[in-house]
Amino acid sequence: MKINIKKIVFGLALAMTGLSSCKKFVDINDDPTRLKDPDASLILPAAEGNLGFTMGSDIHRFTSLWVQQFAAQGGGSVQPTQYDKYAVGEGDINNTWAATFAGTLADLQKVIEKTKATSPKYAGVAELIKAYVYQTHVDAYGDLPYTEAIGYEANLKPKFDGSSAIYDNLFSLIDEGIADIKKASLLAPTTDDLFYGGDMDKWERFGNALKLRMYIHYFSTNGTAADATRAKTGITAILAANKLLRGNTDNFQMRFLTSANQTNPIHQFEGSRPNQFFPSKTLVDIMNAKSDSRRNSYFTLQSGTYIGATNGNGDVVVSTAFSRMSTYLRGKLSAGAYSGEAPIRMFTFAEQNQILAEYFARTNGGNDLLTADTYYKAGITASFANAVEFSDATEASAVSSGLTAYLASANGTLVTGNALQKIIEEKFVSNFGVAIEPWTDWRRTGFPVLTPVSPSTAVPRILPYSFNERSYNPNTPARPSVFVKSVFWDK
Amino acid sequence: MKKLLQSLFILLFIATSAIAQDRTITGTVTASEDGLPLPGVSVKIKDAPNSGVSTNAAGKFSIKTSAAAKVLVFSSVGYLTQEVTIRGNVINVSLEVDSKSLSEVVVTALGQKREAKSLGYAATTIDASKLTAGRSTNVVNALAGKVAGVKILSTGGATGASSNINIRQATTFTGSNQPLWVLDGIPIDNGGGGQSVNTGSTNSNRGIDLNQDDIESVTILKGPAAAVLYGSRAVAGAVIVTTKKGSKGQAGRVELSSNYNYIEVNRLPDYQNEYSQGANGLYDSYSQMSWGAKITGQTVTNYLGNPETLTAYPDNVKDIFKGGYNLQNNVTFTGGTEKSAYYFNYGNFKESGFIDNNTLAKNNFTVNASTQLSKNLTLSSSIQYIHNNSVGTPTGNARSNPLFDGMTLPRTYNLANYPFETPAGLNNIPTSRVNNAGYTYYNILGTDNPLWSIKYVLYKQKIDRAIGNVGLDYKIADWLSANYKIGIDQYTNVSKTINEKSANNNQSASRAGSIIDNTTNRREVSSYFNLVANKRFWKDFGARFLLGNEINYRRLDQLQVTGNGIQAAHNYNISNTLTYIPVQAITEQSLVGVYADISLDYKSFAYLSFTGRRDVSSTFAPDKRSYFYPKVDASFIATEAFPELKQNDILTYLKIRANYAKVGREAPVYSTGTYFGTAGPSDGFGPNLVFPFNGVNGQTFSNAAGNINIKPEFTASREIGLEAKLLKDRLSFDIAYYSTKSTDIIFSVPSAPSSGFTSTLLNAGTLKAHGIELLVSGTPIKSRDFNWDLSVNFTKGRNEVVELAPGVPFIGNGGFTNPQGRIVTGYQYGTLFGQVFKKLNGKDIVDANGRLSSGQINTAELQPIGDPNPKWTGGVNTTFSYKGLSLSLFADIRYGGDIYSRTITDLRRYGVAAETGNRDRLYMHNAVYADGTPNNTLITAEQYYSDLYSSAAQQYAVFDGSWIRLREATLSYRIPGKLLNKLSFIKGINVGLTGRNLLMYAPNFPHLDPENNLLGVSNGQGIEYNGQPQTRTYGGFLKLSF
Repeated sequence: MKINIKKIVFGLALAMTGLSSCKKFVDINDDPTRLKDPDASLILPAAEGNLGFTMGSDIHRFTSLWVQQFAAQGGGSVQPTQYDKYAVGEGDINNTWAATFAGTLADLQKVIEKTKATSPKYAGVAELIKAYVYQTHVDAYGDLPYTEAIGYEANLKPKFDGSSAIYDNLFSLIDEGIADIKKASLLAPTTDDLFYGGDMDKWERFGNALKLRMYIHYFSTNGTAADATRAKTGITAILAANKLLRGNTDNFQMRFLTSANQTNPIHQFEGSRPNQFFPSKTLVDIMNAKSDSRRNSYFTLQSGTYIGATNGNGDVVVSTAFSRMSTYLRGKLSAGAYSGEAPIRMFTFAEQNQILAEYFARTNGGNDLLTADTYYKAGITASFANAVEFSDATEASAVSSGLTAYLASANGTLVTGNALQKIIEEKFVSNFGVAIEPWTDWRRTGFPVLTPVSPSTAVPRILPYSFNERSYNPNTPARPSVFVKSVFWDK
Repeated sequence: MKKLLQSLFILLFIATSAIAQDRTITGTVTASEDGLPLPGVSVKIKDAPNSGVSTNAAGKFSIKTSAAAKVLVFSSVGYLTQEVTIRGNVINVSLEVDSKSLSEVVVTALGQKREAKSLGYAATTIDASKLTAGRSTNVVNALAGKVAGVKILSTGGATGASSNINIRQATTFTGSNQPLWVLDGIPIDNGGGGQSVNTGSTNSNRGIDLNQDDIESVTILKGPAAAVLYGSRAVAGAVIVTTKKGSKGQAGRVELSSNYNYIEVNRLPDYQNEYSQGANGLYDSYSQMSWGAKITGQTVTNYLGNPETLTAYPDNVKDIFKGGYNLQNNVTFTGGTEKSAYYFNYGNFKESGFIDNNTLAKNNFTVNASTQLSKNLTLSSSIQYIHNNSVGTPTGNARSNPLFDGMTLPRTYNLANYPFETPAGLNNIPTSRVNNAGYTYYNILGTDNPLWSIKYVLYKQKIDRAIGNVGLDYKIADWLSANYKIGIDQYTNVSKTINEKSANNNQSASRAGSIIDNTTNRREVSSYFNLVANKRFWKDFGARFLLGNEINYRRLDQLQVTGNGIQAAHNYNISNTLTYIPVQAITEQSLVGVYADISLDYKSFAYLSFTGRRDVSSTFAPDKRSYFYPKVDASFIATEAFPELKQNDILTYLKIRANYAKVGREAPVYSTGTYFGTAGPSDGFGPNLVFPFNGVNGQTFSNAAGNINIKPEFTASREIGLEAKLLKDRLSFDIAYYSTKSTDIIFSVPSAPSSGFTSTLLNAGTLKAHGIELLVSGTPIKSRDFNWDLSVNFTKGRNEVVELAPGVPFIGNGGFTNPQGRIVTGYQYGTLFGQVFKKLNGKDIVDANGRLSSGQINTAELQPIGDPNPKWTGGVNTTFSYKGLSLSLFADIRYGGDIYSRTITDLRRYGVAAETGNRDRLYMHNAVYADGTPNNTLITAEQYYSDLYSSAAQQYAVFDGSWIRLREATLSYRIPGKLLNKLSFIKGINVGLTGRNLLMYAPNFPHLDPENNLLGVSNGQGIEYNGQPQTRTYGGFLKLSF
């Protein structure tokens, strides 16, 4: 056997090339199809879309059933009938909780981090949305992770902050957001802003309106004088600045499309889980009592009348002989099918008016009813106008023609004695389809008067924490019962 | 070195020239069993090692010997070596089959053939006849119950259903515990088979592509020690599949085989047939319950608005199913020349399941060939082409699953009595209780008519797959050889999911319908270079040295378009939809491994082997991607070390083996970073939102965090084993005890969503396992014509979840929010957790009405409700053979293993199960009131069963899944050669009957066969959710050789 030096050298050379190309061969651990650092204009729509969807999904179902805008049907094996009986477990919270924290808020945080320095208009919009998310979710869950939340790998177990402290923070966050959207900005949102199309003026108005909503929450059944003072100071300042929503075109909402899988999630649920989610008897009866013509676009007729389903018995008494939601929540009706493009409404001009009506009815010793009445009527008018958004001509005229009589009647006029009840009931009606807020109003004011579903003797006042949060975050506070007053304003 | 070689050559030269060749001996070698000539038998002159020749195709040989030569040695693999004293010039020899020698040589990792006695680890081989005994469609099922330590669980009885395989216990939390599959030395993909809970259809594991008639043997390499040479991917063991080959010098042979099996459901529930559809004792034509009126022939109005006579239909569920069949034909050409060998097979398989539109058709072409290019160089190649075409039906928690309520049809509802589709071929499901002659089903909750979804909601798959390898073997010297093999496994899977317009499932929002077109290409290329040296020195010592390199590359390309909103019904072109969601995914990963193995033996009775392997995996960051791990194993054959042990033929063989190994596992691909992905909010109820939306796209930051610091996970294993043969080898034992410990386990540790992540990838946790395996086999009766073989295997294994990650109480491993499988410290792997009723002193608490109503459920914390892991499993295999007739039976025993059954829950809650028919009496929950006093409220049967089997509480829905089943049976007859004299062109005829799952006894599991798994190939087990029931198959086969 003759050893060939040339062959050895060649072999070694080959081995060396092999080694260096080996590095290239294993350097393939970057996903070619996904992005690691997309532009804010791609992240913002994800955050907004997620929020718009979430507010028409689980958290809307839980809270609208509990506050009896909706009632569940379909027997004990379908989840909504369990929710309707207040059996919302920690596990039921997992999806919506993760969608909000690991979805919406995590994406907003990315937008803020990316744009705060150079494109603050993006950061400002993200801050205002974040303020809205926290406002609604503090109202629903009470204490939440805020100061340490969304720290990604750096803090996997954020501490919880008190609901009151978070409210304090949110006022400054809104101020910061408004300041940011007024700054010069390299990039600015346009069509990627699904809520306001990049209209910074509208965002500022929304920011102020959101503060208004938060301040009004300080008024509650057993609220203290200090609470009232704080709210008064805040609202006075907002009114002085006079930069609020001007009409339904300023509504804070997410408009959906008619294409499949892009329609309103409340509408989609009706399609995928038919006969499970009906307008509640509580809501329908309030409107029936006032012959409210908004019923034309809110509900369908059932045997010539409007019939709501009774809350809490859908697990036993199975029926579909009820009115169903109609164009207001499902979009245009054509050939028996809804288009599904109706928005998920999150804060409407009508609500802003009713907040101010409540404010004036409560302040000045509760006797500035004249100003209150003006806002009350403006709120009703805005709600009627909104109610025909997807109506055909016949339906629109049926709704609108009822307005004058409604305003002129006792239903449209505030008088001493039951002004608060009237305002909140009106808000309850106009906030049909709005998640959380009607339930917050009930907890603050006791209106509308709700009968707890049997065998329960009370209506829940708080949502459970997510099971996953509690399991993986030892800082999660105990939540003994959904019937215990837990949010700072719930007194 | 050079000098040593030279002197060796000189020595050999002298030795060979010293033999003067001065006479020629000829003869024929035949097999004693059938008298047929044996080709390829080595014929040597004793004490002259270089003198060998081989017999030719006709079994003839011719050898030149010196006058001094006294004895010829005849040897051939599989036969006892025979020495014949030379007398005269013609020697005819008949060789005896060596019953044990077949198992003596084992194909181990990297195709290395090793003597069984030298192995210090567990490797079990199953040969072809045992694999195909019960004719299963999926090769994985063919392994069920046959090997100790191998656990097979099939997903269900659907055509093409996947099957889960685990060798020994789980060694990782969320990664795959499936073994590596290797076909003729090249890793192949057995992926797929996972079932999604809320969407999707029957999904096969890709092992189903293999043609079982091509398989010569399957060797199971148990545990890391056995599979260490395959590296990171074989931590969970390896399944080594060897296909049939031709042999050199063998005369060309043609074989035709055909088998046919009838398929039917093996167990259907027992129903009550006294009470009608409805609730509260009243008939209700829209109800899915059967708590209605007593059936007395009364006239009722159905949901179409027509009067009908209330009648019970005892077979209304049975009628959903039909008899299915499968038919397989093979034609094989095999043979060889002096230097080459070839094997060609075409297999055609067709199956039609017990539900319409559930079909599987396969065409397999296999060519295996080898040729000796020169004296020292052999080229071999195996190539398979597979075309697999299947159609299936939705499964799981989907209202389009025909068994979503198909197994619980109201007792007075007969599908055949009503239209199941509109004239336009659509569903028209009631949305209100106004009777309407246009309705196509009764169910007001939105479930599709089973017949409609069977006809219109389909999943179609076409797989084109090529698996091939080319290898070169070069014998550098007698003691040194090099071999190189490169192989590829590549397939394209083109699938179409059809959710016809008006279908109601999570892929058909608002019943708008959808089409999902998916094209997936998977490619895996593997290359191996091995250098093997084998040498004996100092008379008593032997050494075997292996040095090698593996290069492996895997790529998956996936392009999927979901089209939502079918426009014209029955047109399944993707462009007939309204909105489109495209998804593209490409993953690439590579692995380079270098390994060395040195095995030493002393006098062929003591063996010691060391292996080391270093892997470089692309899945880690550069500073973490190179890692080393070792193996050591030893084997000691006491009977050869101390021959006096086997003096009196009681103990003929005693071997003790032990090993220690540690193997590193790769990370999931692309897990070192956190990426954004296209946003797509959805909830669990169907609604979702698809981007691009209104002209803009949305990118959302992943909820699952990657980790740049992730490093390999390691599993260390220890094993000792004992093998013994007794009574002249008539009885043998193989017992093994093993333990494993996995550390730094790579898994997505759940995190508090408020951090922004719902999980983060970490190295955390410790998982242990241990188990015992026993195989006893023997031949109680052995005579000239009659043989009885019996073997029993037993497996018992347990896991110990030592710790997860700090602050992580559990990991979910499949299922629903409740119930779900979990990995929890202190519990068995995958223990089922669910909601139970509130308890007082261990008893359920009823409400004031004596009911276990929804308010009585403990919603605060899921409780353990069952352990899905069997306590032990076993198999009994027995074969009786009389002349050409043989009967084989394989029984499969599983003891323990809890199963949550949604179907049983529904059968009882809906009032259709036989036991719910006793309604003339009242019932009482065995429970207490909140104050602790015993419950004494009587309730109706409807209330009783609705409470206990509420879908919200799973406490009473868990059943013990123990079973004993006659898994396989074969009766075969080989027509003796003398009967075929007149048909001399036929060399052999083999006919027989086969059956699978013929008998099943599950004492604690009512109504159904417990072998059913919602999650398919997965770490999660023990959940049955409206799955297609198991099958019983039986049929026959015919094999002709020419």
